[in-house]
Amino acid sequence: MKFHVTVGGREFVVELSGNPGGEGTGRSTEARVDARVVSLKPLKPPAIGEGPGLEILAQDGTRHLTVSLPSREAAEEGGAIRLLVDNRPASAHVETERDRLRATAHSSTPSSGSATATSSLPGVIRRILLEAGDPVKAGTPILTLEAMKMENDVRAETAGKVKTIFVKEGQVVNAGDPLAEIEKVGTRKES
Amino acid sequence: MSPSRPPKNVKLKKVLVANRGEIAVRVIRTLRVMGISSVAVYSDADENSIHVRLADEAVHLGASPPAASYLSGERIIQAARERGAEGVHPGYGFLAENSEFAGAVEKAGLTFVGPTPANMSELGNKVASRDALREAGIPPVPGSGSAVTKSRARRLPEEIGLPLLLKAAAGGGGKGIRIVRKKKELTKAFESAASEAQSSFGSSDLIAERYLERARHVEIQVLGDGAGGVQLFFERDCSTQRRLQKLLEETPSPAVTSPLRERLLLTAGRAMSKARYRGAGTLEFLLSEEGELFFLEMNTRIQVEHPVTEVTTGIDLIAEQIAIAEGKRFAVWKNDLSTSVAEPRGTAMEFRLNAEDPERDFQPSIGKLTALHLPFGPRIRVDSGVEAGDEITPYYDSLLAKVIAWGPSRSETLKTLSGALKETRVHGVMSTAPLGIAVLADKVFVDGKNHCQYMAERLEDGKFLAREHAEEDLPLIAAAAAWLHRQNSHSTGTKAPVEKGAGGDLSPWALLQRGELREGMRGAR
Repeated sequence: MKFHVTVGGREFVVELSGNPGGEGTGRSTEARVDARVVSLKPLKPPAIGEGPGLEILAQDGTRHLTVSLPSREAAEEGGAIRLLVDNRPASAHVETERDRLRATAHSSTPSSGSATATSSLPGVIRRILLEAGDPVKAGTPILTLEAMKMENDVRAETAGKVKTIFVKEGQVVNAGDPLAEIEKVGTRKES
Repeated sequence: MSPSRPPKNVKLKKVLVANRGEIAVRVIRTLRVMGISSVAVYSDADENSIHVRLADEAVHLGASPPAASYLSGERIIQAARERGAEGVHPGYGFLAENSEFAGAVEKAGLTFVGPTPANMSELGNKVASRDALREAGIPPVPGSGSAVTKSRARRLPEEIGLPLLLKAAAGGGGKGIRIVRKKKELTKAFESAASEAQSSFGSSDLIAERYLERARHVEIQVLGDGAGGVQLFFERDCSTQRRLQKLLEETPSPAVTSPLRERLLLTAGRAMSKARYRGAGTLEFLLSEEGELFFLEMNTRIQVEHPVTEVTTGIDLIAEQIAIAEGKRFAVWKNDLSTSVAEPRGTAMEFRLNAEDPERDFQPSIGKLTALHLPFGPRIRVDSGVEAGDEITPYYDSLLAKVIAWGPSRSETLKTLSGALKETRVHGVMSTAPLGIAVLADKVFVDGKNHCQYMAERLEDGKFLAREHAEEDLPLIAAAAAWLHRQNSHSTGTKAPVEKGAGGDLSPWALLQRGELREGMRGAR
């Protein structure tokens, strides 16, 4: 999974693999920050309940630091979070690649030239009907989503062509997750 | 002067501790060491607290708000009688400085482990104690003494000087206080302070005193036997404060020279002996930047920061309180410091670990303490009344624990305390730990140049608390992503964080399969 993390005014792309932040597993995870690797290991899960507390031992090859998110108050709307690094505050902004794309799509003016089809329900992607580059009309089915024991077609809202399909067959999605991006015809900027 | 009481020699076998949290735990521990049975009291919110479990017996007082529980003097006295306790220890806060409560305890035939009601009403009263201390050798902060009218207020700059402080006569906690630096600001400041005082305390009366900028707060711990004998201790320095509340205390003060200390101790000895003070108490002073001493007020109880005195002298102040209540006598005061001052060894510092958010103006943080790791190790003492799983409620103060460090020199003590705070982990609520680490690393504090406004000045720099981070702070960056991933994998389709899982697989799909999400979705439509 890809994330965009901004610290000290600089943005980094982070890719996680393994079981990041998983509880009770002790299994370590790899994070690729740009091209470098950090190993992450969730420390003992909070003793009581699930709580917001999360403590991660992060090792970048030369040193290790304990990073924690102490409480619910430390996470704000819009992805701003306040972490403690060895008990000293540090702030960061974090969003997933998908959120980033959706935000871009939502804020798009006609000149931005694309629309994102999102999932209106949590479910599983059953079939992907198109691939990148395929032309669509408004109403063309892009993929089939199974939710609430029924299959639903997710259709293009505008005419254009498929730019990106964000999901794979069999993937579980949440309501609001971006599924595909459609590049609008006529508003596309040719460079 | 309080009436001289006949010496009494009682042996307490059972004492009720009329408090909660760390101070209740602290008192119960000493009672156990002394072979005295303890009776805890508790409110609804504290039913499962450590102090209840540690005590030999416990009595439920009532609902969580203090007025229905820890401030209910009648109920507490009734509990003491029912359980056959001969004494009541009030701790600090709640009823500890309430002379009516102390009187009612004694009237019920019980021993109040604290000053006599007369001591409390004389010395706890600001006007009377100021006179007593002036007579003993240190004047109060120059001020109006009593409430001032608006027309008199206009003359204050000439009478007591600028800057001056207008504060609610009935006040406390930083409300109804204005600093006046220029004469023309006075009328407006008076009006706004008076209206705030009216709405906060039901009285618009204001008193005025000189505002000492960059002054330090120093205080003398005393023990009195009620018959003129006193035991004195070296000063504590509590200049590291936020919003007029102490955060870090130390002994000795880096700013108090031997002649100043001698003056503080002689004044305290004279005043306490003359007042026939009984029990533990603290005389608070301001030390101006120019080295002048002014008396502030007396606290007629054990204080939060008493452990720094304990770890430097080896004297258990709670045990002394009990012993005094049982009739212990000290050497009669003869203006001789060599016989009345406990000799300290080394230095000590205490940091208050509060459930507060230092990055958000110290707003109290409530919620479940999901995890708590308090420090251990050589030269560390921790006094706490909470444990993981406890709910931090809005009903009581925000103190989670006091972390106390000892060392042969100030610089060593400072490092020991800093290490302890770095090791501390508080999850579920925000804590002051990051602030302690920042202060202990700050040059002004390290050099002993801190004063009462120091913390506020430092916090104006938004980066004071933040850790210096490398250009590319890889662990932090990676952990931020991992946090969001976990958050998302725990959230439902609506992206609301899952507060309490039913356990097991919480993926939206699993919930969907179980039909739980469908219910929720129907409702949402």
